[in-house]
Amino acid sequence: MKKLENVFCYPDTLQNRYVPQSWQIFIMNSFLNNFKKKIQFYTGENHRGYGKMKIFSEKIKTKPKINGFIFYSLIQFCYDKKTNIHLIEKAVESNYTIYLAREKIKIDKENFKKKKNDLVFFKYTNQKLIESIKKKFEK
Amino acid sequence: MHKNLLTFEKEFYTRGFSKISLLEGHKKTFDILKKKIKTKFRKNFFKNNFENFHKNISDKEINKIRMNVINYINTIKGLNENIYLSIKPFIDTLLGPDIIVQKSMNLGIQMPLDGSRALFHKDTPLSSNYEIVVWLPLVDCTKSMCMLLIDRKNHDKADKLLDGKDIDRFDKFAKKYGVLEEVKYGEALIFNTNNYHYIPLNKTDKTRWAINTRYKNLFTPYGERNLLDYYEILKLSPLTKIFDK
Repeated sequence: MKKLENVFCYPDTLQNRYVPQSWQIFIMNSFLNNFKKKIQFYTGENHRGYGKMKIFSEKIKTKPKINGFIFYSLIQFCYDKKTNIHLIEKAVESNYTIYLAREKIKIDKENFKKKKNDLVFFKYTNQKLIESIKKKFEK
Repeated sequence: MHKNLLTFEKEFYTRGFSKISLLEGHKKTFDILKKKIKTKFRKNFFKNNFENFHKNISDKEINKIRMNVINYINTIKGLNENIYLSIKPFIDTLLGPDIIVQKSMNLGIQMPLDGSRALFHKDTPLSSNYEIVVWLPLVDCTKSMCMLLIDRKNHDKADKLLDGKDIDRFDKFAKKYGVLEEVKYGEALIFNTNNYHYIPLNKTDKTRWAINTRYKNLFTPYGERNLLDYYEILKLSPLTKIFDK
């Protein structure tokens, strides 16, 4: 079976003022080069749905024929009260790979369990940064 | 003989650094590592050993080789865990049960008279104060192959150097106040990220090989190096595991 090389890309809308979207995409593209994958399409969460990551959540349901999804950062999963790790879990269980460019990690079905603790504690250890990004965006 | 834990704690607290021996039987982790490196990079080693690595390597080649070796050692499964196990009681007594470790360890290969070295510095505030550096040589380090560490009691003086103008002030200071710890293969140096240190020009006729990696308690304050971008969880206490959801 031919390996899928395309990836959907999700820049972080809330971090655009710190890292402009064009640079976020440049960073994500450069990270994907290590895995010989390409961005096929990109979209950002909107101002209302970024906490629950509604656009990403809906996209998984459509079962696109792609290798996976790349995000600028795991921070994007931490804007709601609870970290949206269940979405990562859902994606990897559907055989998609999740790429996180800022953290330089790739999560798939094989390593998800091993990485889960890191993902869970990430919000705790980055709390100040996450709160400050959210606060400035919501102003 | 292994340094008593209490002596280690006292010394670390007073000076901000301490030299230890690897736990018995754990030197083999590094023997295996060296064997793997030598096999993988046999073309670069020719017939030389680690100490004489420079004999067939030019200044132009060394950086690329260094990066390749670093990338290679970071692909070796279980190496991070094995390094931790080789010094476990010392790390545990400093950090407690919830420990995170640097995702990608560094390796310094410093050939004789190789000028590409870090200047007098400390790792904070990029790292937080709540982190330790473990420096593990893969060869016996004597004289200028060693790092100079500044005792905690002299840190205020070192801080003032930043306001000075004399271009040689850091070198002069390190020579005056730096403590040179000769660290043999099978030993390690543990120091706080807030400790000033200085790497002298290697004036010996041997190449220095040394791994350096960082550890931290998961629940202590962070600098600019955080979980996943720089660190990953090494171990959690049973209590933390219960409440990690």
